Amino acid sequence: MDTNQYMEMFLEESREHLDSLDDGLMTLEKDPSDLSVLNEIFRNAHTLKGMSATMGYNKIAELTHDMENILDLLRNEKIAVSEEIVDTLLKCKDAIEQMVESIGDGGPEDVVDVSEEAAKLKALVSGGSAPAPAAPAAAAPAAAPAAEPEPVGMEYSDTDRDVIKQAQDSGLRAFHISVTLTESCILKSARSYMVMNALDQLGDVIKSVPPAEDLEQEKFDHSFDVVIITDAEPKTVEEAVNAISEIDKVVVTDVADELKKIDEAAKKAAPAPAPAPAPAAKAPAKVEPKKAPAKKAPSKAATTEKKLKSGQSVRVDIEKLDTLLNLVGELVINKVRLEQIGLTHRLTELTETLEQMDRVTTDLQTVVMKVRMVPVGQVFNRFPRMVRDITKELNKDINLTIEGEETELDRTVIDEIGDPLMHLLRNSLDHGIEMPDDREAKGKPRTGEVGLIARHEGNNVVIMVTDDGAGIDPEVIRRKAVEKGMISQDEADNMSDSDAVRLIFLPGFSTSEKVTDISGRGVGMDVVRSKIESLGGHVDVETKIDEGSIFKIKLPLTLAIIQALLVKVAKEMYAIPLGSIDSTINITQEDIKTVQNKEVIVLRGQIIPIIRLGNVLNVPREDGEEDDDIFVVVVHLGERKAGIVVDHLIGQQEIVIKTLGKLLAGLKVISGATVLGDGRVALILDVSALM
Amino acid sequence: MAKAEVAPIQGEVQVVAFKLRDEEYGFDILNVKEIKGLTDITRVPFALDYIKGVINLRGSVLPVIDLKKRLGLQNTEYTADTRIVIVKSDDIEVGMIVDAVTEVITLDAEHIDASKVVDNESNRFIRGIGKENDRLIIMLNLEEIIGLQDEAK
Repeated sequence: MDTNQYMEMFLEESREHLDSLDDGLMTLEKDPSDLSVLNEIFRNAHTLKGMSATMGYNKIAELTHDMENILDLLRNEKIAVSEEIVDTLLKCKDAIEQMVESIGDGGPEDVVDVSEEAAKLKALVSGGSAPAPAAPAAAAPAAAPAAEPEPVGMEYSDTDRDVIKQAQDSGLRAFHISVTLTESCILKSARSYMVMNALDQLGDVIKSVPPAEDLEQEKFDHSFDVVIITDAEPKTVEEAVNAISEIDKVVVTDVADELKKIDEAAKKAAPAPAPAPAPAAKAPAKVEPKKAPAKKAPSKAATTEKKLKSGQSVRVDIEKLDTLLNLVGELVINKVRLEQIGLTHRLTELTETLEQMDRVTTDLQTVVMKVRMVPVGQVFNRFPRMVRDITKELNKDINLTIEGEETELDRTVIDEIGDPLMHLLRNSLDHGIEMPDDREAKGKPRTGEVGLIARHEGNNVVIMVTDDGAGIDPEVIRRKAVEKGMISQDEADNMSDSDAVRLIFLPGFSTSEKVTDISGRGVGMDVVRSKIESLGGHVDVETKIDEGSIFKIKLPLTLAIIQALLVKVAKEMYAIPLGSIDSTINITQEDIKTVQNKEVIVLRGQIIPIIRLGNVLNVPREDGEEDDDIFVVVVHLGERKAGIVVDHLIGQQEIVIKTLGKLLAGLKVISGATVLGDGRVALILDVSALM
Repeated sequence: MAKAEVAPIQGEVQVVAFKLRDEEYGFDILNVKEIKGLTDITRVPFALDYIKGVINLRGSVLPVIDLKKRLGLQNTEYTADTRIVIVKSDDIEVGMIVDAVTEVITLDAEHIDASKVVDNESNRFIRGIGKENDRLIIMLNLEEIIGLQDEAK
């Protein structure tokens, strides 16, 4: 059979099942007595087996079959859950995952050698108990018999009747099609979709039992019923459906006849099952009208018509969402432009209308942003397994706590945040948490605690990786940094402890004394930092020796539209994201003092270094342009503050962030650009790079 | 990619011809997206010297290359004829500042001399020299000019 059209579906469903298999096995390991988990795992394995067999991937099918055997023994308590078994099953799952990915990349399925795993499984099975393992797999119809009762004959609400009547008046006919899929059919939803598609081409599908979204979610047993309005002959309809594979039976009935019978039956008040008309000669009991009238509420049937064409959810290509977001961005730019026109020309009517429009665009923006939001759990999900594996490898005892996995983040951030998080976690596991004996010696519990916590903080999402391990020794960091020539001894001596610890985020700094498999693969913390900063975020660390460390990642909720303060230096305009601004102050030249050759100002008793933006950015300046009156934008990065000296403050504005493109990628200090209301381009400053 | 030989020009090519100082240059018309009058260019600090800045092209931000600077030619003042030619190579779109756009002409491949006539540092930017009657049109190698592979780092 032509499997290409199912490929995507196969891949996605396989991934889902693999994920849940992973979860299940992890839970099982923690609580081996949990039989419900076992059932779930079994179902996953079974579905995987079925899907891969249908798609012709025999390797996966064989391996899952072996997995099933052992799972069945576990399920029936013939053998006990052991670490070895879970380990082996997890390895199998990994192997399958690799195979599925390879298939997804258009490669062959046998990219990994699974003979070892298979042998091990077999050994475990035969070592486990004598009863033949073959029997259960085939017999278990593990894809839980659908909860739906046997599909019933059609009911026709008044609305349906109206529609059908109208159709008949205009010379069309309505058919009731009852489709039964073969018992062995695995991708039932795909089949039903194909049937629907085929019917859609012949005419208008006006209803189905069960409704379309249930069909999509496989909430039906092996048969379903559809009513369509068409000008085609019943024969054509039947052939069209029969052309789809894995269809066991198709029965086409003329709805007019059915309706007549229903009415007659109602009149007689007796459930006399009239023999089916010609095409329905082999009609099974379920098309008989007698079951129809009572069972389902007509109100539901009335709405079915609408629901039919749009399911509850749609999968949308992320690119389309990006385009949508861009368009909303354009709209915002133009709105701002209009607002300026309104202000310049004092057009009250325009301003008022724009206020209305402002509400709409704000809502639109929120909705689009919401659509792009994905719970961070999607990334967190893969970590328990990783932590478990690493813990074993390192012979440590570590407990991972995950909090706030429901916190939502923009899809693009989710895609990018996985690697930095993984790196931080690995660091905590490898360098943070001590060996159990060492922990005991320090008077700490043998089990180390590692936490992965996400939560909202204002307009940001904060993700923290915490551990109660050894902490980072600022002295060690100082010494290392001096050794590597990154800072001078003087600088090191004058550096506060927390600043010293932050040195780990500098490029070329890796404290790992020995390179291990877990961390220290040359990917340093600087990579973590640059990745997070490229997402508009910020990473910081708090640590105490022997008490542990907290790595705190702060990410903006949205990447696309932010509030910013526009400032002017000479003739150039720059935007500073509002999120990093503390306050703005107006000072004179005399307020600037020098400390150790660095210019500072004193703000509410705090000494703040200042940065003259014009000098940093080499802004061309004409003589005499400098003013005595200067504006300072006080920005903060974590705990640190700095004052950015600019010539003028223009005002706060909503800006749409645009990238500068590949040609200008990787520029320091500039993180992007935006188009202003007047059509000019202003660059967005990367505050963290300035400090 | 950049180092691979540039595909030889075959058959007829349509060329957007433009002026830099007194010489005439050309881009393959298939690379040219549009031609735009001079607009506000925002300077980008820390960018390479031949990148003049960025412009707003209907809501998106586009880098602009000072083509004369890129080719090592002497600078001239902008005039009313100065144009920005928006070109696209692979998926990179950039603007090129030129002194004037002259016309779109069709050159026969036979009239394009692909051997490197001009021997200096900047000849890697040149694909060939087209002859049309008395005019010489220097065909430029867009990929090299955008130079993403080597210098942009």
